[in-house]
Amino acid sequence: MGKNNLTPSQLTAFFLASMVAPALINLSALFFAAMGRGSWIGILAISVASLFLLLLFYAIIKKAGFPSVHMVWQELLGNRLGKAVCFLLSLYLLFLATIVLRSFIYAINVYYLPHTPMVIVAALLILPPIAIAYFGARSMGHASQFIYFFILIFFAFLIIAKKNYQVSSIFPLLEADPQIIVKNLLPLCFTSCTLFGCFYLFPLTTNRKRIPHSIFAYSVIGVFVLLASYCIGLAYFGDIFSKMSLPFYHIDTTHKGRILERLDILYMMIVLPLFGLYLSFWFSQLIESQRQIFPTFAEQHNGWITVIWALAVVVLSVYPSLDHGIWPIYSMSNTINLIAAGILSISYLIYILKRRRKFS
Amino acid sequence: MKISNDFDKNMAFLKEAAADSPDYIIIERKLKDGTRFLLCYIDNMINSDILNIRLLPAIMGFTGENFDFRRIPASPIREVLSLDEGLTGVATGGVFFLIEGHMKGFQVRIERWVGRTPDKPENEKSVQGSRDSFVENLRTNLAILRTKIANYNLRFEQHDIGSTTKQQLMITYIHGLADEDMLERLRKRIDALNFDGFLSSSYVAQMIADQKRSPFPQWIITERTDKAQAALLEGRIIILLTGSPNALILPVSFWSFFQTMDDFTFHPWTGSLLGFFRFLGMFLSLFLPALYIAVLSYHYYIVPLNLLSTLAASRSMVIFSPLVEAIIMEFLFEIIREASVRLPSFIGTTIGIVGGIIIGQTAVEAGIVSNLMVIVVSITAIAGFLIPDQYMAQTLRFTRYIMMLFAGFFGFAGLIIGASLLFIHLLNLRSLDRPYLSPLFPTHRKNLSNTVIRMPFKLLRTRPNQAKPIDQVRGKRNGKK
Repeated sequence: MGKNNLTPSQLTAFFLASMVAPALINLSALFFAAMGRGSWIGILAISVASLFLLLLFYAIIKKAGFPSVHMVWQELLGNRLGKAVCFLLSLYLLFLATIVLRSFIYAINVYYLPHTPMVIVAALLILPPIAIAYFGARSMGHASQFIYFFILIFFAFLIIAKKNYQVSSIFPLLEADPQIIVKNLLPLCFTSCTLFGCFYLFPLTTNRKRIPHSIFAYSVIGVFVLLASYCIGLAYFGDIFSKMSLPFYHIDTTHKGRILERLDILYMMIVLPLFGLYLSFWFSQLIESQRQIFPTFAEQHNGWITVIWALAVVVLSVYPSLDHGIWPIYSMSNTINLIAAGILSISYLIYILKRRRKFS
Repeated sequence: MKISNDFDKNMAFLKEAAADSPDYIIIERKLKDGTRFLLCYIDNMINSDILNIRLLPAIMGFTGENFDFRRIPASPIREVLSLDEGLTGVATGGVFFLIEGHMKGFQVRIERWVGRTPDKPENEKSVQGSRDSFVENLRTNLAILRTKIANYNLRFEQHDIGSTTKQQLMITYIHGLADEDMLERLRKRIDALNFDGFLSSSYVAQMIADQKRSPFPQWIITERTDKAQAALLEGRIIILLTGSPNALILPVSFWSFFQTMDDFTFHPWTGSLLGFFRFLGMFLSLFLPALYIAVLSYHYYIVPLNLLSTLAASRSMVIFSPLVEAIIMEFLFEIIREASVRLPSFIGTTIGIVGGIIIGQTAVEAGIVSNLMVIVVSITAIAGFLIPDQYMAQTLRFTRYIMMLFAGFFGFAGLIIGASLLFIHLLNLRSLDRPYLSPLFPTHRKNLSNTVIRMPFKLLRTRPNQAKPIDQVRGKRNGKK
């Protein structure tokens, strides 16, 4: 990304890329499975908490003068140790990219290309993120702006199946137990992706005064998308919504229309680019972190760095066997994300204090 | 070599340089006081009437001491310090003369324009656009543009390129409209050109492109003078080159490849409809065979049942998979197309009949391809002809094969990945460091009318932002802030 900066509107789209794909795939179903009909409270609670945390992190990063994560750790721990910590953080980004790709492979392998080996599907799916990461933030910023188009088309397709919706399935709204909601907030904290990512993305943004506007826009659109997908899923499937791994795919396959009979292909046409954007969210941050840690090498061998890390993501996402599926790891990563964001914010605070002492 | 004090030495150098070049004329004459002088020019490249009637008598009227080139009734005359420079000027239609005892030579341009006169554009037809096109002669091209834009702000900036061919290249722009940074960027790229000769403008275009590895053209090559004129009025830059009957337009956007003069000469509704068909043509040309392959190989269930039975009947005799079938058919079509382009027109027609009817028909009967595949390839080919720019059409043809491979191996998933890769590539392309997908990415709301839809002139008052024109509004404020 480096010198190719993001505009605030691109930042909004970039953030949305990190949560719209899971929202339109199965996040709302996971919420329903965990919290029942009170899921909307959970969604709102997480969104409001994330809004405040994002604003808080923005304030901290602003106070520090928008340094990159790499600059902060270098200042705190010196050149070599700072680089080592940043490398560890980039390994964490690798982990995130890997689990995202793993979940995509599963979906594509099960529903679309059952006879194609997983490694081939993984290699295919990572091609757009490679291109986006190779070209940098400008590319990601422009590509992620397409997210609005996909959201609109997605809901337009769901409107086609409106005859099959039973709004009464959404009620009663206050059925869930508050204790269950609180207990499941952390594992389902989908917005933690953005919380961790903000430390990498805010320093790359131009016109930084408008970042709070981006945060608000992201929160509002994000909540709307997730609530809408939750309501539609529940209205269509009723209680079996919680057992669906790809609920909206099933809406498309079960719908019998007069003109558009099969929507599942159209669903894939929307979801695949969303997958790609979601994966790019982490993968491009991974490559960007490498550019910060090894600036000279990355400038000379940008293509090689991108390809080597892509290979690592492909291999790690295909070969380890997971007995309990990908979703427990996914939930765990949400918690780790929050902890990592906390550590990063503390590092920024120490950086501020250190700089103050230096200047005083 | 620098001009020497020794007249004979200079003469010997020139004669040696012009050895085995019978068209090089080197003659020795005397001034009024008997001082010797020599003239060097190329036969048939200069206007001999002007030389004999005006130039020679005027020079011979001087003495060696009172010679003053400013009193010669010919223009422009330029002082030259080296014999190499003098010879280079001669090669481009100049007359070089050298007077005994003078350490400077002089060059007069009295070239006779050799070449064809402007004719109708052959490759870019238009219903209502102008009927003249650029020619190989650079001076004629400059005159055409001057006639079309009678404004002293129209500038031609000369650069000499081609280490062997010594060609002239003109960076043409409207001063006060074209962005200075953009011009500077272009000047640097032109000055960095290092090649022996440029046989076509596209040599220059490929060498100064932002992303040389991309098959997508980052420039427009046009023979139409009105297209060049329109580009200049939008603040873009034109490159003209000696020996090339085309103008190079920079910077360009992806959308400009699908616009023609007719979009603007017809009513906005009909112009927009034409633009829409062209875009449809682009999509069909790019994706139709790939869609066919994906549907038949992986997703046949999306085809309605009654059509599916026809499809099955059509393919029942075909021995190849849809991907192989499509590649065979496309390959056949490319061979026929290439043959008909290279052959004289009367044989070309025969090739069309042989290829289209006989080979197509027998291929179906032999079970190599299906009827539907022939239809798909034919629609794709005709749709490809809707794209006005040949360079873009070629690129889309090339990209179509990649899409076919993606669709053949992975069905719709592959097709979507392929299309995403193509889109990401276009997002990152730049033409003279300006975004290729502008005004859509990045979005400039005011300029959105310059894409597919042709707006009425009332709404076209703002110049496209792609070239960052200094004066953004068309009309009376033109060139003034």
